[in-house]
This record gives sequence, structure tokens and C-alpha cells, in this order.
Amino acid sequence: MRDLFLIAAVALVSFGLRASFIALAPGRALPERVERVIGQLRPSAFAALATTAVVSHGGAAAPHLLAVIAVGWVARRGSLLAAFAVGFVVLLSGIHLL
Amino acid sequence: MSQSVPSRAKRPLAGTSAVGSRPGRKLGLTVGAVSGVKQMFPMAIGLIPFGVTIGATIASSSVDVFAGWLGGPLIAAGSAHLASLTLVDRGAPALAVLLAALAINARLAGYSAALAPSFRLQPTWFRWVGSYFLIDQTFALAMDQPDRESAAFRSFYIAAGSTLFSTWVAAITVGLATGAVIPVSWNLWMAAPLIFTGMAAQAVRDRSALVSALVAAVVALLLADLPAGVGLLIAIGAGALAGAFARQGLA
Repeated sequence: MRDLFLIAAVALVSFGLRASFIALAPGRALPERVERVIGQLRPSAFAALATTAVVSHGGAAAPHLLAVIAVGWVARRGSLLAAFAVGFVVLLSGIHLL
Repeated sequence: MSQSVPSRAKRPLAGTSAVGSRPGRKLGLTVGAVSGVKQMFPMAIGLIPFGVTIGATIASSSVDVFAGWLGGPLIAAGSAHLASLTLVDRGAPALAVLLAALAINARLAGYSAALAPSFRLQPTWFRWVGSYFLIDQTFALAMDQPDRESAAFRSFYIAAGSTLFSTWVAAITVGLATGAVIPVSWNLWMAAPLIFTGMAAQAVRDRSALVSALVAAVVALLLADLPAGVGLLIAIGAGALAGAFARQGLA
């Protein structure tokens, strides 16, 4: 029940963001300062999530850091799809950094 | 229907708003819908692997299966969905789950603000329905349209959004169905770190975003021992503020 509640709450928050200026408060605009912070939330959130997701698995994640590095390197240079493909190939191949 | 108005069939999408007769209007709506599906289709296909991965992640986590799947059609945003699943699986407090999703999806408010001027001229029902379909891909296609105030645009946008979201939910369902049979040796639990790393790498488009990402990563590392979600939120906030200051300094 808790999981259902949390997913529904996240859905409500997400919809609220989508509808914020189109339906909920039409005619308003985002202050420039807020826009500047919002623009930085995405790289910040993904970097924090990636770090937390790796660290939370402790030593189990260490052998797979090569896959993480490969994904980051390919993503910077090409499509996300290609990056995931390369990362999963490295992961499944069992090639380790250490 | 289309045979009775052959010349109107050649008008571009933006011109359909000028069509007054009922057959012409219906043609405009049909053309708009078909255009929406065709333009969205390649992007929808590109999302399939991500959707399948999320479905498989739900299958291999401790999150309730139905609740996890429901995030597909309800949250309708892959990165926030995956972050929510990851945090719920780790037993993070509700506030941490909500704030993480808020941080990741905050850009949707920016999209909403950008589309608001043209959507203001649309009927109320479409402003609410259109809001549901607002995500990176539909925003990009919508911004590409020269006319965002017509009935043809409504048809286009809803068709594009429906194409994307139905493909998305189908991919999650497939992932959920097949995830349980994936061997543990495949280390599927690494899917979330890999996906977030790829997204972080692509989100770093300038120096301020790099500052944001680096500060967030370092703070997340330093606060990794805090209860699930707390260190993450502090890291996201610290990274975003550092990036905003860096951007102001560079301007």
C-alpha cells in the first residue's frame, strides 16, 4: 500500500509540474533566478543518483565501474541508446576494471 | 471524404485552422493526427530499451509490482520513475522520494511555462489533457509546430503523446514480464547506475552543468552514510545551487 501511495504521490507531483503554467496558473512566468536553478537540477540530480546508486551497492559495484565509465564516455559522444548498449555489453561480458 | 477536397489535402498542418467546412476540418484533424504519429514514432522506438529496463528493474526489486508498473502510465517520465523505484526499494522516506522526483522533473515546469502562451488559446479540456502528455519528446515536437493554437495541433499533439506513452507502457510491461527470468549473473541491478550515469553525462552541456554534476557527485559520496534519500537530496540541492552560482558567475 505504501508503494502505491508513493507512486501515486510522485505521479501527482509530476502532473502538477506539467500543468503548472499551462493549466494551473496560466498567465504567470517563472522568475529568472528560479529558472537558473531549475536548469541545474537535472545534471545535479542525475549525478547524485548515479553516485548514490553505485555507492549503495558497496564493493559489489566496484568490478562494474568499467561499464559505468563506458556509458558516461559514449553518452558524451553519441546517443544514450548507444551508451546503454555499450554499457550493458561491458557488464554482461564480465570485463572488469580490477 | 478526402476525395471531395483534393486541394485541401495538400495544405500543411498549420493551414488547417483556416478550413471552415466540416469535411475540411475533419481532414485537418486526421492529417494532424497522422503527422503526430509519424513524427513521434522514431522517438518512441528509441525509448523501448529504457522502458524494458524499468520493467525488469521493477521485477527484480522489492517494490510492489502493480505499484511499480502503474508508475509507467501515471508518472510517465522514465528517469523520475526509475529514481522513485530505486529509493522506494531502499526504504527511503516518502519526502525523499517526492523531492527527488520533483528535482528530476522540475524541467517540466519550464516546458509548461514555454508552451503556456500558445496553450492559453486552447480549450480548457486540452490544457489539462495536453499537460498529461508533456515530456521532452512532445515538448520538442510541439515547439517545432508553427501553429499551436488550432484544432489540427490538438489532434497532432494528442496523437504524438498517445504514440509515445502507449509504446512506453508496453515496453515497461514487456520488461516486467521478462525481468523475472533474467539470470542474476547478468547483474541487472547495475541498470539504474548505468542509466543515471548516461543521463548525467548528457545533461552536462556547459561549464555550469559540469560544476553542478561534480558538486552533486562529491556531496553524494560524502553523505552516502546518511539515511536513504537524505544525502541524495542534499547533494542535488548543493549541486543545483553551485551550478546556478557558476552560471551567474560566467554570465
